Amino acid sequence: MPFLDNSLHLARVWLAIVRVSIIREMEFRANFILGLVRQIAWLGIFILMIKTVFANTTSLAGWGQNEVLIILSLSRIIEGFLNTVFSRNVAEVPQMIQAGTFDFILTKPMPAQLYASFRRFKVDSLANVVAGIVLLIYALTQLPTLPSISSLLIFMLVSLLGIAVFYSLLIIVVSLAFLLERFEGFYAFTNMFSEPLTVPFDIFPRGPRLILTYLLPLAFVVFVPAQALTHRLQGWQVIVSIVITSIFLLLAHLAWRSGIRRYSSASS
Amino acid sequence: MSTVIETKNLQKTFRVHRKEPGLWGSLRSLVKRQYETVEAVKPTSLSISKGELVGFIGPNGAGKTTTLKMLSGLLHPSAGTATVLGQVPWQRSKTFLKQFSLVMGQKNQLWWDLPLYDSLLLQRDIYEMPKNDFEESLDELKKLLDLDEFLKIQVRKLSLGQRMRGEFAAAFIYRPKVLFLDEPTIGLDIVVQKKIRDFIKQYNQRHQATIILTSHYLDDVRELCKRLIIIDHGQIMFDGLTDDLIAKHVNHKSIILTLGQAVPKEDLVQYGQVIKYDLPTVELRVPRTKTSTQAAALLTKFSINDISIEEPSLEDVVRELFTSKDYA
Amino acid sequence: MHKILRVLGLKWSENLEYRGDIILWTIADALVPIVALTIWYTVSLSSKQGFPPQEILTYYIFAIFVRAITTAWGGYFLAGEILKGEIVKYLVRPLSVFWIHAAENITVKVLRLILPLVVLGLILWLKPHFFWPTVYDPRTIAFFAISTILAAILLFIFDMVSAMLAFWLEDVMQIREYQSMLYEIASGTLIPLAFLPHFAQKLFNFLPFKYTLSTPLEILLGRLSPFEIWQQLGIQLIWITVCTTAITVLWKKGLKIYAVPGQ
Repeated sequence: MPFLDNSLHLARVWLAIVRVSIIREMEFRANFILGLVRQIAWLGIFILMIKTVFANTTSLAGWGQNEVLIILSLSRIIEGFLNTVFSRNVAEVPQMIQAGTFDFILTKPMPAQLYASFRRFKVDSLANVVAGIVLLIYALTQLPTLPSISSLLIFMLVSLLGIAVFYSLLIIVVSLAFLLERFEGFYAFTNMFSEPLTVPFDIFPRGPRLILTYLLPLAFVVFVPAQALTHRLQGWQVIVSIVITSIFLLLAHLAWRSGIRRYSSASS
Repeated sequence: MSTVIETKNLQKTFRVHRKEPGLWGSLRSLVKRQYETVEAVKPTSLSISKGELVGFIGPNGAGKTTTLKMLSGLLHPSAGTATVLGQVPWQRSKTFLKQFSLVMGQKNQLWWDLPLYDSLLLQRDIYEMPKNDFEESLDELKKLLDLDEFLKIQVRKLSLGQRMRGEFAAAFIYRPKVLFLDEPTIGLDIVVQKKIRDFIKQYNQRHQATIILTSHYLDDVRELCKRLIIIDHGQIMFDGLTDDLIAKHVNHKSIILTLGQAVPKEDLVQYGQVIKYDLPTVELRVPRTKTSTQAAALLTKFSINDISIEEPSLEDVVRELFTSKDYA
Repeated sequence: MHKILRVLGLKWSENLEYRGDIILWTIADALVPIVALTIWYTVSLSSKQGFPPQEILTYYIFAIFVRAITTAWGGYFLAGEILKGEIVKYLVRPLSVFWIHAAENITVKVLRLILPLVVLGLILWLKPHFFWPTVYDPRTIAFFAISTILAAILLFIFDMVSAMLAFWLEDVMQIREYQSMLYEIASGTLIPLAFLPHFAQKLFNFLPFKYTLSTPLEILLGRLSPFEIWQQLGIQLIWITVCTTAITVLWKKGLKIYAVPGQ
């Protein structure tokens, strides 16, 4: 059964990568702690921002302070997870292409897209996840009603879908690296995609909101899961979520393939 | 002997955009780009058997690396076919990828912050090596590459020579049957170059691995490659034994004399072309067929303390080939 | 002097080759102020006290421009070059490494400002009541322009100063991450400084970041009295001097103890 064998192979390699990454991180304890403190500091800054906002208003497009804190905490958790598992790896692809080391990815006996995305496990971004979880628990307990079990299940589903959408977006954008000759701006893209994730999308005017939902579906990464946790998500939106995720996963696959094809015909 | 690598009319053409110089030119290219076609590899056919250690040499931009990349599956050819171990490289099947390896000089794939050992363990998982095979292979590499001295040290703390040996270890650990080494010794000092050359030779002998080596260091090629393929402007100019190349393409040998008594230059010219006249040492270039007769004549005519006859070096050959364009 | 011009010319053609990249980076960089704009604009719509929506809009749209004019990245590359031992190639060149990074900085900015400036010009011309009224006063614009240029110089030099730490600290990149974090909050990007609690505002007066974004914007919005304008410009100059001195001192000290990494 080649599919099962291949999947086991990939899982085994990934676990080996995780193990080795943790070992590596332990070597750089000072750096790890500095990073930890910095991520907590960022969280603090965002909390300050939210507090300042709510010192001047009682509702941000219909979202109360605790609910906005939920969005913030989710963004930290999900972004932290994304950065740990693949965002930063994908961000390195353009410079690997420039340095000529991308060829090493293509010579490995596994799908290049997967290996390029998951070849490092960046432990230092995990602090965001932990800090986010702490904040999330706090913010949830401040809500008048806790989310129900079904809400939680839907929340987990749309979160996974959101992660898949973000992954697809990154792959689509990084495939541009095969087209452009220099793509130092990619890091800016990852920041760019993360920037609107910390806010309730209801504050965006209609045009941008539609774009961010259907064209560049960042809404599904953090905002929709936040809606799920705050009793705002409706059934049809879950269906849309599934459809959009599938479309973008497909687009990502096509973009990458077309990118590699270009790389394989154009790089000397 | 079974054929491991075979290409038929393999061809690669690139579209490159031409950069126009100057301020006006760069403004113009902002709006519209000019492209031109470059024929990196003209229709080429070659065939390499199991266990052969073949050298690819040629000037920069000749098409060596492009050919290697096509055989590695990194590049799709514009036309033609190729098979390596019975597989089409650019289809990048798992079977093919697990049996071949690519080493690129000065390009690293090892984890920077980890000891070599951990990178090798990762290779083991990536290439799905059984535990015993891995242990055996590691032991062998430890011996051949002298890895023990730095196996557990972080790669970023290693010297360039150690790092390259580490890269070789990572490339060879899973016992690939076909290896492409693209300028593997570039930038390394002579001691390390020799170590790596010895390693390649021994590995090739032990495992009958098929190896293609490109190098600008003719020492690499001379020591390792019985067979030589010379590529220039995308075309194979010579494909044969290294010794044949020297014999066929350079029709002379050098007679080096240490004279016992001074002899004026004019007296020597009848015996051959005077390359060096630095008394008491004289070097004459003599046609290959006449070498022994001329040597005998010199010995009888003049007082000579020492005489030696030398083959032209590979450098001489290559230099002649690429300047005089005299191909078989 | 003509050496500098030649480097500028070289960087110009270098950067033109990678036009797509520059456009992307410009857009990406503008997103932080855009998102902050939507937050504070929404707040201003429902808030009775504080700042009117038009002022917030003006603040952030011009913040995008000021950022485009002032952002500095040379320090990131310089720090990397020090860590990797690559600065030796600069030491043998006749032109100082700082001017080379400055030339790169200037040419990229000129390139990426062409379109936004055209758009801004159009808005200013076609919609004379779109922005906060003070924007249309030539004197204000003049001071705003001067302050912005000073801000650009200041941020560039400050960025270089922190890069100097690479001579002593291996973790310099982490420190620089703290620096950019501090920039986002202390410059007035995430939160216009006037919204912050007083102790925070006082604190940020002592950091250079405020003078790289908030100051020119405050001038533009007419929030400073003529005396205060001169005072703030003066502080910008002082910071520039301090940073320049710091660079000179640290560079010399750093080179003395520098052991080229690698081989």
